[in-house]
Amino acid sequence: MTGNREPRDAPCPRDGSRREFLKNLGVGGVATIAGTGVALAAPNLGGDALADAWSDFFQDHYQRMTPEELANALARIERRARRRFGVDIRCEDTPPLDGVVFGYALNISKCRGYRECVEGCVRENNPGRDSQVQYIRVLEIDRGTMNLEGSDHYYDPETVPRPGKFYLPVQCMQCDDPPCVKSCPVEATWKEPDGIVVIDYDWCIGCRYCMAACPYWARHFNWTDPWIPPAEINPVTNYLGNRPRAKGVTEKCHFCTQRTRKGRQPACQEACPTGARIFGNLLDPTSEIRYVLENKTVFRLKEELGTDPKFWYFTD
Amino acid sequence: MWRLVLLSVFALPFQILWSPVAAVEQNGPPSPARTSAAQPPPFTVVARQDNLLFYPCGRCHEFMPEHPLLVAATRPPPPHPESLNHGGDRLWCQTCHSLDDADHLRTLRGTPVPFDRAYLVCGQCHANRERDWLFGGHGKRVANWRGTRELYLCTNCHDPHDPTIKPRKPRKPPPLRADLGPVAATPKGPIMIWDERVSP
Repeated sequence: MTGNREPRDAPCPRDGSRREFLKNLGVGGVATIAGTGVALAAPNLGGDALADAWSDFFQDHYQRMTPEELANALARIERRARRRFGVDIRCEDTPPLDGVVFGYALNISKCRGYRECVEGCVRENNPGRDSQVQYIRVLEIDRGTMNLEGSDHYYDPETVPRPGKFYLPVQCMQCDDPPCVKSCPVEATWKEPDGIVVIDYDWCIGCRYCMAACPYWARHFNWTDPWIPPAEINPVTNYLGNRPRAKGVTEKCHFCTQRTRKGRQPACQEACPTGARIFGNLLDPTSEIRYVLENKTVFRLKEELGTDPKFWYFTD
Repeated sequence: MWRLVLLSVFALPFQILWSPVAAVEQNGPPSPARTSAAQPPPFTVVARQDNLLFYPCGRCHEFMPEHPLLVAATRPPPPHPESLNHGGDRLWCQTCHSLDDADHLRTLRGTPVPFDRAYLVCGQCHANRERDWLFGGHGKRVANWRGTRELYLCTNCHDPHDPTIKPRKPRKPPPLRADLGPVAATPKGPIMIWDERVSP
């Protein structure tokens, strides 16, 4: 373990006495109340940035917002991205499709550990490039074992697959009985009618209970302000999907809601060069995913935990 | 009279059920209606024929009538592939290609097959794979999960003259969180910081 973090330049803010702290609190409170009156009277004071900050503070939970409030929230997200990254993005609220429950199947005899799915996911979903947020982890495991503890996801040999190893990509399993949802104290995460477990990033308080509850290491926390090079931002975003996130919130795979709810394949399926990934509607008996579930030997990861994942692994 | 009418009305379903036609249908080959669940969903393929560099092959081959024995004895010059690494020593060029009709593939029975329906040729040996491919358990669907089903052909992913997918360099591993090194994986699990402290 090496410690190479640079020392902080700014002094620790907790230097003053308790009296000073209370004094500052009082001054700040008065300023806030005064600011409230001003902002209510003239919300455009200081340009969009001030008005947006004000509206963000009072933004309601996604499921309680009226269509008008939601439209305003989407416009604010677009403006925020323009201010922060200098890029025009389009943020939509794509509703779940009727009669659709998404499922995923992954052929571990086809997966060869190229990590193309990880790359495709990062390109699509706008995670911070420096914050170690990657929704998919490809585990390299000894053949003949299922030892997750002994797996390695930092493998970097000259060529894969390595002899004697197999590869198991792990991402959010979109559990039907998701422990992360149960653990969230503010109901910032929930299961949608199409089976996707989503997060309202604006409602998340960053307590990370969901990360502790998830048995698949699927949830990731933005420890730093997630920065994306402007040229790499995907401008097609969804409120419950790949819109740019803030520091201090949790995020995870959402089956590319911005794509799949419009009938497209998820980015990881599109990126996979071996055809190991099968995605589809579990309620459609003619879908590919149903063929796999009915005709292949499938298993689910940590099935004994009873989380009922909608992500299956299979072999030929 | 009305009794006769009533009897015939009641007997009608039984007549249909036990008619000779129904018996033949039960014993004979299953009708398409009964096996509809096993029919693959309709699909289109990503056309590949027009992208073949030297297609149509007949442009050269009609002026080069070659003797089959000569073809068997010598290695064909470029643009043909240098080697055939498929099927051990069981296959040669004319297992899938025809000298008489170079613009088509051929099945083992000699039926010409367009290059864009190569799965009919591949499926002769790899029947299980072909079935999986037709139903979506093998291969890859393009762009959408519903609507028009467009599939990559066998030959979009596999070089038919050397079909194994080759090992290659993976994409870069995930970045490490600040202050942390990679956790070394051992058969007993990762070495955690408390293990390091405890061990001498």
